[in-house]
Amino acid sequence: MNWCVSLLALAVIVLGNIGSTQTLTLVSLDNNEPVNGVKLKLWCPDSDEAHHYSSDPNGKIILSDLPCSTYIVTLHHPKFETITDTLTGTIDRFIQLVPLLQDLDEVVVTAQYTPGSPEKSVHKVKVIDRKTIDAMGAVNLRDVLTNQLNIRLSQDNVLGSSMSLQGVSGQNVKILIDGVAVTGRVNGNIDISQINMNNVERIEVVEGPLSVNYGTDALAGTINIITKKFEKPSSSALVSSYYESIGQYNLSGRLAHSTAKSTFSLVAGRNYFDGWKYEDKPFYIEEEKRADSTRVKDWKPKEQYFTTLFIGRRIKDLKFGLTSDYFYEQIMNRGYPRLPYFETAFDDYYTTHRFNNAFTVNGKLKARLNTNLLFAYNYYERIKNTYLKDLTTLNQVLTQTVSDQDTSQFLNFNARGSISTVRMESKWNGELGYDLQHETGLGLRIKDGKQEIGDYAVFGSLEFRPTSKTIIRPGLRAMYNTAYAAPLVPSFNIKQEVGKHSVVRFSYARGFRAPSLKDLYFYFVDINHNIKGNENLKAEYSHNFSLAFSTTFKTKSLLWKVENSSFYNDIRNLITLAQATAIEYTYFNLERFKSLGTQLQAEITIKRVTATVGGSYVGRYTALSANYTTAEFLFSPEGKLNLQYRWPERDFTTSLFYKYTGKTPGVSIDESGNLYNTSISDYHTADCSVSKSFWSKRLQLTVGAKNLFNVRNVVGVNSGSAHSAGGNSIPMAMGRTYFVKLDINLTTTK
Amino acid sequence: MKAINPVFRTFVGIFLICFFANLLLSSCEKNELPIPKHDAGSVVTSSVSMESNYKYQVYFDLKTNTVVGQNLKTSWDMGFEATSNGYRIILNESKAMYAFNTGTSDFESVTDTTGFAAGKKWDASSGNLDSTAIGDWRINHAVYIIDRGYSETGTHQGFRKIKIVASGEDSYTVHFAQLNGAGETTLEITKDSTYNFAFLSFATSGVVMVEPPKADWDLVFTQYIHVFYEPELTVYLVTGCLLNRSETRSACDAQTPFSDIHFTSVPGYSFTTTCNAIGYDWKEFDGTQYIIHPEKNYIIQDREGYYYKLHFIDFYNDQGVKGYPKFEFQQL
Repeated sequence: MNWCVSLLALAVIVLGNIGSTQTLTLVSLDNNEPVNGVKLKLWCPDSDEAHHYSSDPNGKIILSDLPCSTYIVTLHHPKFETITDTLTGTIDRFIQLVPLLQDLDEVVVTAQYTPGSPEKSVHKVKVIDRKTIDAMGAVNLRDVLTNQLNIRLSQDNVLGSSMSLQGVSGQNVKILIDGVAVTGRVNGNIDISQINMNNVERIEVVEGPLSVNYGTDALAGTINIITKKFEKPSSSALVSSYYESIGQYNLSGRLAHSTAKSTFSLVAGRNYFDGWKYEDKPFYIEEEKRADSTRVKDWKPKEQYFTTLFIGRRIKDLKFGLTSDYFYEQIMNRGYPRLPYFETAFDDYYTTHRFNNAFTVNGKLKARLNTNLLFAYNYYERIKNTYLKDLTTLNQVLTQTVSDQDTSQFLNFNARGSISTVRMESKWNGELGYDLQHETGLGLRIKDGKQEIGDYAVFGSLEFRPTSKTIIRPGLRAMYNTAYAAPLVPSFNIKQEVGKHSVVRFSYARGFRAPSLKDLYFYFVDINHNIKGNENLKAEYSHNFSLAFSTTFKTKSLLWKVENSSFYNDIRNLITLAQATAIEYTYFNLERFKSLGTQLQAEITIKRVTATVGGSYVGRYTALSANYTTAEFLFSPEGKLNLQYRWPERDFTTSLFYKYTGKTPGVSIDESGNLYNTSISDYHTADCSVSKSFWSKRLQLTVGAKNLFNVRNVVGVNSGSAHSAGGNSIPMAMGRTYFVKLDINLTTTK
Repeated sequence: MKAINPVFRTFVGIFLICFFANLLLSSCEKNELPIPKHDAGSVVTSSVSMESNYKYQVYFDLKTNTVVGQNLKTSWDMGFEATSNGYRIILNESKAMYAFNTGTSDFESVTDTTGFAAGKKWDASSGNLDSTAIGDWRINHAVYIIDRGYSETGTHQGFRKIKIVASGEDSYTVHFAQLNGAGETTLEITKDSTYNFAFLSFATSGVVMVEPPKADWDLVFTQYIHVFYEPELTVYLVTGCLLNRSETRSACDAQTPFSDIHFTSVPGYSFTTTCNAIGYDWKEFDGTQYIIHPEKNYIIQDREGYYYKLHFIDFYNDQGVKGYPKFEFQQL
């Protein structure tokens, strides 16, 4: 609405202002909003004397007492392209400024001394911004990662969605929310479909170890999810709804109020998915049905409730934040009616509770001293219940078998703090920090029902800038762990700018994964099982080498970004379950794993169109034990293509996200100890969407289709073994679906 | 900006209301509708309870449709053939027991388990009394090391050494002790030919009553040893159903539907007296639960000559606890 007013105002000015003064109105080409703070330099062709002006909040510059009739102006603003023009006479003008294609607002915080642009960072940080998340129609982290290179997803109908990064499994990927580690790993993996995108501002992905900063698990990479926090002074109410044709119904709301000093926001919502099975049609509404074999779903029905409260306050240059977050999920696994009369079935319910609380302090202690402090308490509980349901009466009873009912709980305290120097003029800067963790695990299958682990670490790094174009940053983390002998973890990063447009980054880092509470203290002994944890385990650790090259090239309306990066991981002491004696199984530091790969990505923006093309080639090498080694790396390719067309004047965006996941080879050992080859077939995923806002952006409608290639199960092949030759199908996606997303956003700006 | 067209506004309003109503109303778990119960007809349905850790051995009589006896599987260790000319000895295979013939008849010289692991033997799961772990002990009256196996909770029960001194028409004389010599006992075990076996318990160092009289039962539900040869020889404890070794026979038909098996079908079957003819594989563990194979129909001839057809329909009780075999049977 504001720009309408200013247009009207302009009309008035135009009509009433003919004379020796001239008014320029400066608006952004993107949204026609007036631009404040544009510096204008004016001089006459025959004189060196320059006159300086600056635009007001209405985007206006009034040029009075002009020294000549034809004069030269340059308009300069850090976020817009600089314009130089020759103007004549006294006619008022309306000038559209072209925004710089590169968003200078983009900042990253992961492993940074202070928030800064990804270009300045010594680490290569990939940012997935809110616009991309919206354009993908992404509901949770899994949806977002479907389009990322070097990331593979897999699906377990009960354990949820897991990922691998750089060919390394998800238990070696650290997932953080605002720097706080997400807890609750089931079989080593975090269910990334439990991480909702409602309140997310952006996602930062760093490939390669960040173990110096974040400790255990940050070996293959770190995904830091940054939530919405401090905002411009405003009050806002948002209702967001989402429907997907496979039976996904999401509804959430957000209330926020911000003043110059403090922010309050509350998010609450519910996601419901009614389950999917292979035979389901694209549009299918669940109805009441007989309890026959159709009750079994390939993808299980799931219900989630979540709420997040954030209270933030700025005091001088420090930001204080308090976040409290609760999440509930129930997955219902209706069993197949049992032979011979199909009158009973075992139904499983998996309930997850997450309760996360964090208090953070970020900002400047002094002019040149920055601090990041964090206190967090995470609670995670997963309950499994099995019922025997009589399908003729629909009565159900909780089964009495001990292993059918299980409650696992994990409580985690974390205190992390760091101080870093910010001396722009100095060649030397540094960071020093501590990271204290205390984890308690409770459950039926944990030795003595309860175990605790403490991990106390100090870390530090130095940043040396011998020239303005070079950064060298060595880092070190030292730890004491109450359960095992923790390793010393070093890292070394170099960033070198080459020429005006290019950057080369090299890093060597150690990554590690501490033996988990389960690896150390698992206890499951009954008449059929004998599996025990091993308290003498060592940490899994890796050597990682990365080399990345990027070049950015800009002209008036064209932005070129080409990136090439390569990595090499050598992971040792992988913790593996293996037979210890004739009847006993336990965990050992057995396997060795290596991965290497390269990726190339080019992004071109021409006016309203952005195109991203990329490919990667990643090889994995597994030494399953000392006796079984594969001869070589097994490689798998990936490719991606994204297209986006933005038409800001019409509040219109359309996007296409495509990714090709190549055939994935692997090896396995059969029960007689013979190696055999496995592979997962290749597949294509593509999502597209159209988004348009109405009613001054108060209403935003996004319509799209996901999984255009209709991928459902992917074929896995086992070959080369007498016993296990054959194929199986691996659930990958739920076929082609269509979605509608509707957001209503009411904001009043002060 | 131009004012919003009232028609457009109404349209948007209706659209929003419908959209949210759809989100709220269709996003709940739908109730299921019950399915009709099957008609059992004249077939008898029965079940026995071994309990979830299979701690009981349960004896069943088809003619009277009753459980005629049950005992804790840990209540006995060795069984002694009870006919007057019988001399053969079985181990309690429901505990996975083993025996090792030390080759010496010097009772005192056996003090540890030297040679046991390599030379241990077990009773054949067929129940064939000519292939027991002990074998023909009369040849040299050797001392045997007995591995007492595991209790239902997986606790190992220790070792004993035993020497069978003699057997006559009425009794056996046995001499046994712990490997260190403690609890040395000489015991006379009386034969009663109305039973298959007389039973010895090392726990009480005495004779115990275990099986009902052999004419009172047809089937015993118990754990027993099965030897798997794939991928390698593995002696494994399975849970199943064994025949009374006294005059009970069985055949299996997995082709004909249960309802189509009649008395006229009987001549077509070849019956066997092998104890594990019914065995354990009428169920299968699929990784999370036991699946029943109701298509495996067993035709059983009892000691009186009557024929029955029987198939299993469940391994769980109505509380969802395993160890409760449930079966249908009918006299032909």
